[in-house]
Amino acid sequence: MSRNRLIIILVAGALVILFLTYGLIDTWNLILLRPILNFLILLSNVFFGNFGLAIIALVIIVRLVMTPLTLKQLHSTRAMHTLQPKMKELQKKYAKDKDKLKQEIAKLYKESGVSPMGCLGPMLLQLPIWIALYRSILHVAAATPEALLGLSNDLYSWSAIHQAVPLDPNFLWLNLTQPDVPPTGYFILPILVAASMYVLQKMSTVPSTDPQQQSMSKMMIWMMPLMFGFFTLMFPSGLALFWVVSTIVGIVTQYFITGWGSLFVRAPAPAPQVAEEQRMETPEGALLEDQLATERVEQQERVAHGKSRDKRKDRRRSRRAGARKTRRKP
Amino acid sequence: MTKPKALFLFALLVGGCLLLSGCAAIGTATPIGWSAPVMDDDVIYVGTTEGKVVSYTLFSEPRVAAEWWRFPLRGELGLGGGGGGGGFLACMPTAAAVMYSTPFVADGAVYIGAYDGRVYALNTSSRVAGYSFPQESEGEWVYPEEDSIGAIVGSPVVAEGILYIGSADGNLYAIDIVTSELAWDSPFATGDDIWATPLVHDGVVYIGSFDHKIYAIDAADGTLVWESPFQTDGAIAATPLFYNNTIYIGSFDRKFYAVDTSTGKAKEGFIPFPAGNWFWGRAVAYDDTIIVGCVDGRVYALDAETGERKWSFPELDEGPVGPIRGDPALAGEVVIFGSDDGKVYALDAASGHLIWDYPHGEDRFGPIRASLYAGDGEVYVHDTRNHYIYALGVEHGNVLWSVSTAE
Repeated sequence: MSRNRLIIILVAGALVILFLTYGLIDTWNLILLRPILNFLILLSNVFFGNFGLAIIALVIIVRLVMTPLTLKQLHSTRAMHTLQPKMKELQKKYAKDKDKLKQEIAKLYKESGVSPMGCLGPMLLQLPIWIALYRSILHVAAATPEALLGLSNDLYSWSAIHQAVPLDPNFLWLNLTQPDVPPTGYFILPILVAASMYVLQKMSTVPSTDPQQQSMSKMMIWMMPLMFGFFTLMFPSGLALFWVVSTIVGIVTQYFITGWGSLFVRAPAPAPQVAEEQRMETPEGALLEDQLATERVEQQERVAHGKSRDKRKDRRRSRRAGARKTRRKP
Repeated sequence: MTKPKALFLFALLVGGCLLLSGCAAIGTATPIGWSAPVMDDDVIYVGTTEGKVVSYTLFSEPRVAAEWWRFPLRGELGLGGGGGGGGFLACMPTAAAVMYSTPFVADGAVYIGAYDGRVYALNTSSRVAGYSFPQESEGEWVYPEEDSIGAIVGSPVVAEGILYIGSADGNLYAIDIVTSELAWDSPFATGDDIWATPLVHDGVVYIGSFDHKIYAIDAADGTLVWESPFQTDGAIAATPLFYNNTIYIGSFDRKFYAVDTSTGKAKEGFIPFPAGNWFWGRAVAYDDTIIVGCVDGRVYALDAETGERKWSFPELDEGPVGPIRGDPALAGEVVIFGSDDGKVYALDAASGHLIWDYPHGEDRFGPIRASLYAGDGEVYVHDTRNHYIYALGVEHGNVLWSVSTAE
């Protein structure tokens, strides 16, 4: 048994024992909510009682701690994307033999060293931490007397923590316990949340010529920012501040991995289905598609780093690629 | 499943989780209120969780409470119905007329502060007649008339024609109850929110603030009496107790203090008593013993001179009951507490032995966060979750009568 698998089994076992002993909610509070919440209060002490700065610092720290998971997720996403042409080829080849298709896909994953859970696994692992983080921000904000009374039960018995509570909710123009909407707010945070999430979504989306994938990506690019922008209208601005900072850190991380990605790149025109099918039917066509996909990824990297090539060169190359694509159209 | 579909579902999952847990968290952060009932001349007054001040007349034979009048604080001013809800979007808390304040009754008038930052003076005759509010000729007013001061969590106290009330804007206000104007040149400013109820004694107002300090202020002109306010290591939300020229008060630093009222310094010989959590409620004094409830779920009886623990309920080797936030009621030799575990406990003030608790078994009230009020062999409990007021017999803890505060 590998060391990683042993660690996973031990952690899972410990969690099961905790769930059985304390119940689901108490275990959640014990291992995630209370540590984050108390750390947040300590951080605000460090920042002279400034709750806003404490939230910003906490988000950056948690993001840094989770960097390995984030990197793994980003690399897996990219690796999965580069396999798409080969996947399509296999799907066409074994369209009538599902079992064989599964075997071949598994073989492809194994040969390429890519795990299909590589994208979702780290995301799923991070989800409880993010939810605990934002629940603790809401909890510490203690907008009402009832909430403050409830908070008293989750504090560690350290003097520094009890001295700091209740925290001052004012930060810049914001009352962190209230949403940034009129009459007390100005809609600035909802706009910031939506805009920053749009940028991140756009950067992290890999362009595709598959119409289905394109429409899905398009929906994701708009849906997430709109959804979170809408949440920001309802939730306390402490939480919105957390989302903005977290997204900005995400943008910086993404920049160092893929550069600006698709942010300044127009989505390629979807290839007609029939032509694509015809192309994929021949080994030459599949090979050509593979080359194109590789070229697209390379182009993204060039745009991202943009160190050795100037923009005019890139534009010329894009035009050439576009012309090639146009020529290939029937 | 294709990768985009999986991502799409994952995004929906994340959004759903955030929305559900966010709304659940906001639900717990919606103000409900914990106004306590008070009795004056066989009439009980209370602020309900629906944003209304209600009065009940008590009859002797049979012992029942009948509603006398009911007044919606914000509705009469055209500010909406009061009870909560609405806001920018449906699940947002709003500054509705939620009341944490206990009504103060004096000379046919009822004074109460609301969480929306207004103080109201209601005249009983006008409210019975159902006249529009405010009937200024009958001494009714709202302060401030427009806008609001900060959220009010403490209760008003009236002495010598002046109403004193603290606000979350950090100020202590003194309002002339006849003119409804500020009685001082300006409100007394502390360094942070005031959630406590002031104590007025011998022309001095004592008040604790979230800035960790206790202030003694001249009740007539609002000037500071102590040159250096007494300071603790935590926010103060409790109401002080005056006993034998000493102020007794607990703090969020989990300690209970005694302050010499003449100097504003810690009382000599009294060692601050450390507990397991915050002190939020006012203490009561019984035979040189200071009895106080704590959010750690215990009631402590301390020697008034030394701060030494005489007894605690439950004893330290037993598990605590639920957090105790409200003020206790002292009825003769019985001290009665309400707890967040939904039970009321009556203890022998001398020994701390449990005399009765109610409800029995698995039954529970909602969390009892409102202070208790004892009078005429009964103790009144406001169950804010189930919207009921219960009268329990001081002797046996049986329910003598109950009345719903809901309309």
